[in-house]
Amino acid sequence: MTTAAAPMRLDVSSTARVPFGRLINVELRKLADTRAGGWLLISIVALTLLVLIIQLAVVLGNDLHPKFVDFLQGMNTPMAILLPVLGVLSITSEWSQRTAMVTFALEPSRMRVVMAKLVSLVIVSVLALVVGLVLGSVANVLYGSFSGNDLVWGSVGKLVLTYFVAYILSMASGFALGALFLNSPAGIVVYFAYSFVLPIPFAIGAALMGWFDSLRPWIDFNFAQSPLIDGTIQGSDWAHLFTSGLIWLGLPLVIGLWRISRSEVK
Amino acid sequence: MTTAAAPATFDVSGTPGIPFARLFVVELRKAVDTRAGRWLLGITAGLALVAEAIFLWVVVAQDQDASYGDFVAAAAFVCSILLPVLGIMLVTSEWSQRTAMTTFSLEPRRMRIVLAKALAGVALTFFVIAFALVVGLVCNLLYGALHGSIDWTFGFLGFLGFLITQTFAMLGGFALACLLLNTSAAIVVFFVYKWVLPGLFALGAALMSWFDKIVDWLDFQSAQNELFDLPMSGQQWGHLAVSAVIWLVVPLLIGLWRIRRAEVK
Repeated sequence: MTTAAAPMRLDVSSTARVPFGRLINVELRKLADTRAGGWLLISIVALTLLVLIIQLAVVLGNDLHPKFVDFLQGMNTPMAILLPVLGVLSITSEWSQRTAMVTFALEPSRMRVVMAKLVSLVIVSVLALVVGLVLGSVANVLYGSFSGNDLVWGSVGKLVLTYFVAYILSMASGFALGALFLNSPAGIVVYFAYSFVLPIPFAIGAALMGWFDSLRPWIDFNFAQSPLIDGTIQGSDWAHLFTSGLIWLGLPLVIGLWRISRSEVK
Repeated sequence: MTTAAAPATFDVSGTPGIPFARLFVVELRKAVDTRAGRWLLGITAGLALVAEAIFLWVVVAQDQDASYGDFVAAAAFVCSILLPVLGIMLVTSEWSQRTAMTTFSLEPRRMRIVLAKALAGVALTFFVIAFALVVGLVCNLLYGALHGSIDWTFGFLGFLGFLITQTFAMLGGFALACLLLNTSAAIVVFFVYKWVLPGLFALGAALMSWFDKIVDWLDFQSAQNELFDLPMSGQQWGHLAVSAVIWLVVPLLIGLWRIRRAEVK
């Protein structure tokens, strides 16, 4: 006497969904505990240290009088170059290392994963800024004790805030390009071409043509960000930032999110 | 009655080694018939065409003078951004796509593979330069038709310098790729070294007089720029040689040592 076995079912209807806090935690961990992510973070801190040491040696050797702000500008250079790479890799490594399969099987609402990734990037920018501020302060104190000159701290609150916004924007641009291409080399190359190479033809075009010169702030996201980093941003600068940001950040991000939500995970 | 079977051996002692030309052809093919390689070449060519179209439009609309050499230079500038990436991926994709296992099983003398890759990279560089010459030619003809006058001035010495700098750019990417054996890391380091470092060198030279004296010996990019004003003085050749040792030869040697020793997995 045989009875057909009831088909096996895995009832998850009463299982709570993965809390968003846990997703953020997981994404933060992914940034730091893989070899690629770990080395990138170590490189960022090491390069920042190196830049500050060189800067300290230069100002001491040449008897210059730097302010705290100058050390902050020094630490900003490596951060601004490498943080966007972290943004690119945070999304593309899911595809290149094939972890997307596990990630999206455990949390099928892909946009929640993407949101968690973005939040984790914001947290990393805060941490990077804190590390940069601490290192910059140490450099300034060391400068004071070596040179015997008075320390100049100045008010840097506004500058720190603008650095924070700039890091978020550049990491988000990296993330958007990563999402657009879903491929690490392509994302990194396009990001660097856009941030280092494209300003050259833009500048040439602006020098040659009057109409392009007035158009440039509206379409050149790097150029539109410079008043933000100088701390002189006001009025129309915000409109420039918004419009060029739509082109370089908004558009790739929207297309990228659409790709992520549709693409086959394999 | 049982006799022990002789152990099976695979006698390759009479098989000749793989000819180098075949290795070269295989490496060339690897660069163009994968999705990544094909897209990279396609985008390089596409970007060069876009840049030329914009350049043509600007000089015609602004009534500027442009010669054949200018058109070739514009196409070449665009190509020089992506060419080194191709050089990087020739090496690192063996590791990221795990093809190194097959490659080094079929030709266990790894240095022959590396040499074949380097030559394939140089061959692609020449191909891209030929492409720039043709595109420049077409654009110059269009410029003549649209603007009325046509200028075939083409600095051959400058072109020679350009040929050398493009090859260096390609090999610079290649060397960093051998050193790091990781696509992302090599691309990041290459872009920083090519686009960010010269600015820092200039800043350091402006601040410190002693650094100003040695910066010419350290800065590979500015030493290469002198190649566009051939012939160069003996000291300029010296700058080029010393900075090339630092940025090209040392990473390449460490990289080759790594490739020889690296576990292929």
